[in-house]
Amino acid sequence: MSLIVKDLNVTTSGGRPILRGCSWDVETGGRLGIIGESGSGKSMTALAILGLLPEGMRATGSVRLDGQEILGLSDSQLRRIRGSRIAMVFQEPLTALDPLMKVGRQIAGPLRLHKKMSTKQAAARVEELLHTVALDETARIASSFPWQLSGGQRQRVALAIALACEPDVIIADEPTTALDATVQAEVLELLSRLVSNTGTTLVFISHDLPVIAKVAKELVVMRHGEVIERTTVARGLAAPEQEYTKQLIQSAKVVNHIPGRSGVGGAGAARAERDGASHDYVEHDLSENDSEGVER
Amino acid sequence: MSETLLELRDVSRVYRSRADETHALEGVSLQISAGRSCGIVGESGAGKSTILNLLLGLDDPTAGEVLFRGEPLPRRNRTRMKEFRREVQMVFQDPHSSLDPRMSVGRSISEPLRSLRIPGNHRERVHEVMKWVDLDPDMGNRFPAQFSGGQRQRIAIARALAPNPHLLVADEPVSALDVSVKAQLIALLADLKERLGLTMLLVSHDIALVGQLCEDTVVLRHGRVVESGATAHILANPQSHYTKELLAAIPVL
Repeated sequence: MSLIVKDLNVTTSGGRPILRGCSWDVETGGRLGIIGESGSGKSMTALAILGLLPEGMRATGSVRLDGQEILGLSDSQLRRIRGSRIAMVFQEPLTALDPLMKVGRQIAGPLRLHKKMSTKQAAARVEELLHTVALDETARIASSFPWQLSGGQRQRVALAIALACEPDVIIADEPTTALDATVQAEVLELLSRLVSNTGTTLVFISHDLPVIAKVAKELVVMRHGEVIERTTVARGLAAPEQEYTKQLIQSAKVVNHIPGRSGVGGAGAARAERDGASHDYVEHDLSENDSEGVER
Repeated sequence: MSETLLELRDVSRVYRSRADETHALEGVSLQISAGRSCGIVGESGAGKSTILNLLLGLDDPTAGEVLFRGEPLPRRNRTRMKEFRREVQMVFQDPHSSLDPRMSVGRSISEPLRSLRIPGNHRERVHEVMKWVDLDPDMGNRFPAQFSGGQRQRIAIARALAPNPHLLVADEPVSALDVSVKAQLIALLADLKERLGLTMLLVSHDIALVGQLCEDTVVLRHGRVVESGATAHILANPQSHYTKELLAAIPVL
């Protein structure tokens, strides 16, 4: 199902703009990545779409889910959409999950609420969902509390909850940022496979460009509350239009570079890159990025 | 062969509770040589924090020895520990929680000079180390809240450098930062290491970071050393399956 965000603005109660005129869209079954650094407004975008903005913040503009305007709907109307048609996966499953409720019941929650399933039906579906997210010891996992599971297992549970009602859209906000690198790789692959198999539309939010490149096809670059570039991942990486997008790519290459590997040349070349090319960029960026922090 | 500054010799640490025992470290040996940089890589539960606690003298091993300049770390000797603190300084992951929000950054940076009773002109020293980390010394009277995350981490590095330590211990120093700022901080640390001839111990989950900053690497998993040696060697020719897995897991553009 398509999701069209048009001229989305969010302001604080004091009138300070958080998002300014953000527009993007993603088609049914599409995979959109939103990249941005701290304060870019990427998480606020997700919250605004779902009507979950913090107290006092106001959103204007338009968010259309398959043609239906959902911005400004009442709480009860939104409740019917959240978890059922648009599901969310957050960064930290330890805070997203209820610490006092066994995992099985949490996954069954949306099924009971939206699908009006009986306890027995829900239990069967929970088992199926746990298999789907590759948690094959279903009985043990379902009867565990979140703190009894590892970080990767918890995020798989969060994914199972998101998938429970077969939503049209999944919005994942930094879903693998809190995970170990090896676990991140597994969860990304799983998420990617699941949205492919189910044809779910994916909005994937991250500060990490290489991670976005792994799962998304379309790309939105955000900075200071604005969408500064809309492109595809392939085009964005090959021929970024905005200077800032170029910087993000360059930084990601520097940060994730393994000396002596990945075609950049030997360890000597890596060193040269760090001391030479990247240094130029570093100095340039100092004046931009760091000084802004002071003003704020 | 350079002098070994800090060393773990066959160290184990077992945490005991009523119900069970957790073997956080088992038979770990590692050496940090003067003038070199050593990176400890490991994921959650590898034992990184336990190793740091032991190396900094904040905890005792269950078995084995922690040696500083070839002698057991004098944990119970306050005078000797003060000398140790002067020589070994720390940078933490999150500069939001490691700086006192009510203390001007100048005061924060000179704090180790006061607490270690290091004589000299503290003001001048603060100016000097602020320049080392590319911060304007005139900003010394501002408070942490007035700085960005990257600048705060620079302040934390300046504070660590103020007492002129031999060894800088950095625990995930760039993990909490945005990617562009991360790249700047990596360049800064590499530069400082070279310029000041610092010995550095870097603890991180990120093998790419260790690869860029450290000459030696120790790969840790479930409390054991999986692989250790020269970084260039390990990256080019990883021996253990786990190291290969770590390298493969880095998302590359």
